Amino acid sequence: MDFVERVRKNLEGKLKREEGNCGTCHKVLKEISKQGGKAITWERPDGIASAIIDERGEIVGRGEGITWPPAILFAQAEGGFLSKEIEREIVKSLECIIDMEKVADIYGYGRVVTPVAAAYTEVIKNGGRVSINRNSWGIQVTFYDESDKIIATGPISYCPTCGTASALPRAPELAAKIKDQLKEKRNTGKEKYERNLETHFNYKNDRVYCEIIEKGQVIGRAMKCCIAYTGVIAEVHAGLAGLKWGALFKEYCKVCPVKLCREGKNTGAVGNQLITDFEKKALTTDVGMNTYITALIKRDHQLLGKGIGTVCAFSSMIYAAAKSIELRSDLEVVKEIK
Amino acid sequence: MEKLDVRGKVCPLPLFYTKRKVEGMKIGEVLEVIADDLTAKSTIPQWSRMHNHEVISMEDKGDFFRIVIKKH
Repeated sequence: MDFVERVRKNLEGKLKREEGNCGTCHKVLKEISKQGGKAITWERPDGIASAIIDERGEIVGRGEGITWPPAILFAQAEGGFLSKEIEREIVKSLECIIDMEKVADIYGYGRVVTPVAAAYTEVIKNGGRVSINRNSWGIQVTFYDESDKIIATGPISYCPTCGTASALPRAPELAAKIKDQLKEKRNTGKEKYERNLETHFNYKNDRVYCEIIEKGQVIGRAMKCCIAYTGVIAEVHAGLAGLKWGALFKEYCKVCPVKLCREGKNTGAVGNQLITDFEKKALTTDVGMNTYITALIKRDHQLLGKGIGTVCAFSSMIYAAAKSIELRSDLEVVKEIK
Repeated sequence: MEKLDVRGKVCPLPLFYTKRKVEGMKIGEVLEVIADDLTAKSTIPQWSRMHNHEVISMEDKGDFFRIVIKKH
């Protein structure tokens, strides 16, 4: 049995729709890692290129995406790591290259948190809102204006942040505004591209582990609860990311109520499960920006809970749920929030 | 002529493979893509034109279609 077959066989019956694209990507990466493989990503002007490497260092899957995790999921699907049945569903959320290039035109090189944070701020400043919901194995994001009229709905995407980035090109006025706001802004992804850096992801001690490599040397590393967060913290460690984000994220880990990193769980699976549970209870989730990406859980437009997160609204939703007995569902809270 | 058969692959994979193939070709070289995914019928020519490659022909062959692209 070759590497891909071994990984696929070991995942049989373990991948769940409720855990969504992000939970699935992490589970598959964990198994790839157990078998001695890893994922490697490269920043490019049009987004992120990715490869899955087997235990011998051979490339066994390739992909592209607007940022690291969807690019890794793409490579997992392309490499045949998913059963045909699940692959058929997951590919619906894989970004078409045309859409990817439209996102990159706004702010490229695989950066999504920066344009997404700007988009949230801009929409809310104008009296609108941004909502997220599950669709198939992915997340769909909708921008609303001040009259609660839909401005745009994005494609089925990897996660809330990716979904917001993907929705932006479908709101041309908003996209043009964000592109203009960010045109002089430093782009960490561009720097990584120009320095030809590689970003490696695998699992260590049940946590996502990331190394940033330059000319064969590790210049930054991190071990956290999800691919995106780990990648950003590794960039902070490498001196690539801005000091502001580094300080904010360091503070966030101190206040995190669930410490998924210690439980061998990942934010994507837990976040997806949570939003699935919310929707079963007819709760909706809006996303905002208040220093941190913020999730607003509502019932009939009434706010039930609010939480802050890091690179994606999944962490914000988890924080919101941890604060509220009503929203908590099966979430294990290890640090109560006052 | 370079050839790429992506029958059986669904969006976004046909365009992904087409893009990778075109990126590896020299300017002036021609690529024939055989595909059967309906979305790819529009995305491959659209992407090609967006990147100033010439869509020389597009033929419907019943169960599949054939696109010929020249790299510019």
